[in-house]
Amino acid sequence: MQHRGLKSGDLIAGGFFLLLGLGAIVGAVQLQIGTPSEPQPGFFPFLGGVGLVVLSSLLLVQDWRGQSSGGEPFVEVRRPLLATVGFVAFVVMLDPLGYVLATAALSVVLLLVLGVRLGLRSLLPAVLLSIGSYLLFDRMLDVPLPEGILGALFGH
Amino acid sequence: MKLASTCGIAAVSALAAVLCWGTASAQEFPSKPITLIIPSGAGGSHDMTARAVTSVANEYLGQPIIIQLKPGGGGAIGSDQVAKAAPDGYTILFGGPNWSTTLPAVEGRSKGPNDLDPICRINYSPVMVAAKPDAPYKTFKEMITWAKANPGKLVFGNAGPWSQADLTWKQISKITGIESRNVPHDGGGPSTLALLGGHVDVAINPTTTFISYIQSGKLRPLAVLDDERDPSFPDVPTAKEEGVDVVYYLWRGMLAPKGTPRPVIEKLADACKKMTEDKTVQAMIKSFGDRIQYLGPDEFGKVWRAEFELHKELGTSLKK
Amino acid sequence: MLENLASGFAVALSPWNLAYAGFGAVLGTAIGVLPGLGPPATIAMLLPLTYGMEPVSAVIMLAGIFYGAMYGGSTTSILLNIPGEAGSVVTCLDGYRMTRAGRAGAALGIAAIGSFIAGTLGVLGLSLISPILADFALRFGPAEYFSLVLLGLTMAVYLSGGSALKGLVMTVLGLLLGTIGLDPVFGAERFTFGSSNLTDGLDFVVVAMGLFGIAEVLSNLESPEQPVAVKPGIKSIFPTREDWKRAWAPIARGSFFGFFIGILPGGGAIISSFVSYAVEKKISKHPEQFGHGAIEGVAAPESANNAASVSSFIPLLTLGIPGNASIAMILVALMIHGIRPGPQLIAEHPDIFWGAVASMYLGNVMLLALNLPLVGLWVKLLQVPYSLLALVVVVICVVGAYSVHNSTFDVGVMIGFGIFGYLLRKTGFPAAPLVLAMILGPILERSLQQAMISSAGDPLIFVQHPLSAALLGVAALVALTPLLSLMRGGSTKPA
Repeated sequence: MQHRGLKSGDLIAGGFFLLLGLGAIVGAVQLQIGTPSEPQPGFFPFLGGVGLVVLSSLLLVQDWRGQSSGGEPFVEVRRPLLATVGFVAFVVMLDPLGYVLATAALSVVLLLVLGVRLGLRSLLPAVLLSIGSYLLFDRMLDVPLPEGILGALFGH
Repeated sequence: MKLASTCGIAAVSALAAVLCWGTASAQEFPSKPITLIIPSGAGGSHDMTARAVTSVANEYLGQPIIIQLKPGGGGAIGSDQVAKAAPDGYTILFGGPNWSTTLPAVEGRSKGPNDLDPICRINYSPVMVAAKPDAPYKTFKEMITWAKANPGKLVFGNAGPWSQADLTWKQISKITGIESRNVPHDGGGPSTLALLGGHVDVAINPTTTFISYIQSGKLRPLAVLDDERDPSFPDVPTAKEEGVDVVYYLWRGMLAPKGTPRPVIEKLADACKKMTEDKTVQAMIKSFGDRIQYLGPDEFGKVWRAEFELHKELGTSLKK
Repeated sequence: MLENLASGFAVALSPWNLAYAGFGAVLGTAIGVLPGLGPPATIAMLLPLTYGMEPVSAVIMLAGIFYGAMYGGSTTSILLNIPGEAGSVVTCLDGYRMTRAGRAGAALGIAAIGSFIAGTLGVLGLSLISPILADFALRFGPAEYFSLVLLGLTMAVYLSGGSALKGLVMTVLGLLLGTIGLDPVFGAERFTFGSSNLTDGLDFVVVAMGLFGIAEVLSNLESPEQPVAVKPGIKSIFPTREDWKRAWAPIARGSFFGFFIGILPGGGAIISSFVSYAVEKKISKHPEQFGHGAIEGVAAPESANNAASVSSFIPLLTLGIPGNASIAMILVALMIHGIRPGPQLIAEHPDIFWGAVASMYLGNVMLLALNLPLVGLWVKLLQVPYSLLALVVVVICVVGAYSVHNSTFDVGVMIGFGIFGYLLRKTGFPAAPLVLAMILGPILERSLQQAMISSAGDPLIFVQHPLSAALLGVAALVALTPLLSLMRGGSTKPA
């Protein structure tokens, strides 16, 4: 079961975490590290940053020595990618469109990505879910969800 | 003539209507529940006091006061939220010296008298220095002597940076010249726990926090940081009597966003006064080991402003 | 003792108190299952209602909400891979895998029964040895806390499986993510990049929902035709005889760890859930099954977090100090009635202490009676097509993330961590250590600072305190296993 998810996965991840660690060190120094007997706000992040740099360097060394430890293989890239685009668009549109419309739109996108044929049978549950969850949380449980343009229409 | 009188009547009634409307709108406040933001954690002395007082809000204000806890940043997060809120009296802050005086005076964080308007003070708790019963010192004076003989050895547990405990301990240290290790804690509860467990040697907290441990013999009171002795502990001297002039009022009050109309403030202050005079509220506060010391908007505003200026000076002199 | 308990039952069995306990338990289960509204928020909302009640009734109802939520919290973890409570993050690892293998019924059943046994054992411990345990909690100073959290994090690396090095990277990253926001000691803004959305820090619920729930949906999209298999028939709904044989010892051990670690204020319940998981994995004859639907991996942490939810009342009832936000609200309810929990509570108000204890016995029975029938219902829900189930997951995560601060920003963070979590899976990095480290990071940091200041910067404080030294010793032992494998080539047994 030695599948390798991404050929260069460890290299990319190691490099990414190395940069994050360096960033944390820089941020910690700006916050002031202090001394062990008088630690300042940067003390703990500094230790964490150093730890991340050391560990990600080890990861890179391992990868360089060809001892990459794999993850899950990619079966298909297109569908997760499309869904990711859908999710990001959802976050951007959540406030302007409001919860009900944005969630209904996201549901349609996800159904399309999943290859479900759009029809009454597939759309009805999606629409009911977005309206029903809105009513349950916003109206009954007092979790105010974004109203968006529908709220403006109905003059909330 | 008739026309003139009609006009006159119309004018008078219009004027009356305007006047009525004007007073009516002040009388109408509050037309919906009021949100009181407490910028500290659940179960603290501020939370308790606020809940006790507001439990009868509906009777005296005609609307309930809903408590919302917004802890974080030593009280800065909740304070900032209220300062930004609409000055209509519907969003108010539960004020305390930590976040409403010291932090803005010393560090410029959170919101003080420049950004918030006073409504009223409800009460204040004296704070007290306490140690374990088996400590090598029995009195406040002996503690100072011990700390001088063992420089840098005494471990003090504060309740957060620039809290009542931190500020007063820094003052005590400066006046007496003792050196100690000042360990930060996330509030009075954790610092009391650390004191009970012997992880710190001395702590400062409101008497209400310490009272049950003192009564059960788990803690020993050393001094009260008030102008006079606490009636609950007539045998415990004030720090002043022991030669160290440090006094601190851990007050609780209500504050409103800057620019809240005067009638609204007065309405709130008046209702608050009646709430604090309510028998059940007084009984609850008494059971916490505390008592009501109400101050109206003007008196309280003066006290608060003076405290702000004092802490500003203290901040500059105590900062390293 | 028995007399006291009997009088406690007399209080708890009064019709009104029974009704309050039942109401609390049902409401707690509901908020445990639903995203967003955590127990502290719910208790805060209901607090004004308790002003007019008898104090013991108030405690009975509010406590019911708290431990009911612990029961309910595992449901979304097992069914949908969405951890709603910190204590059920670990339950996702094997619980959701069991669901994918068509064994959701067994997982939910063992979680409910394990919770019942652990809850009952916990209450037994509470009624027998509370005062002794209070002293145990007091002995935990900064050095002991630091060492305990370090031990917990070492175990988090171990429980992740796969590459130990990658587990360590995730742990350290989690610690760093936990520092975002206002620093607890000095109030300085850290890594907020000037955004007011970040001053409160990242909420672990938001991060966990992304890393677990959304990442799972993205991963499932790769091959859309895999409905969660639910085999029809009674057998798959309840745990089998084989399941029982494997689960009873983990339930007992989980209850033990949960009870003792749960006493500690702060992160006790969370630490106990993954300590018990890691212990089961370590002593198991088939550790390779962990992370792939081992029933022990559900039984142990679920028992632990329920035992912990009971024992977390000990510091409140014996010292007057609340161990978490929910219990702080219960403290408020008592204080409003003029009752100050503390060293004298048991002597001065035996009716409250023993009434509350007795109601917990009854509450556990009620929760079992409520939750077992629900198992069948939940399993039926899984029979809907995966496309709809995926939408339910997304909706729960979105609402849950939004409700933390009522802000779209948190939804964005949740989606961002969902994408990040998907990539982590592709590169073989485990998500659980990251979430656990994020929750425990602030405790680790505070205790490190406190220990350093109180020892004047001398690191020997961690070994001079015997309890701390012992905990560090165990951590070193645990660390040796993955470290050895690290030296051998970076990967433990292939999963």
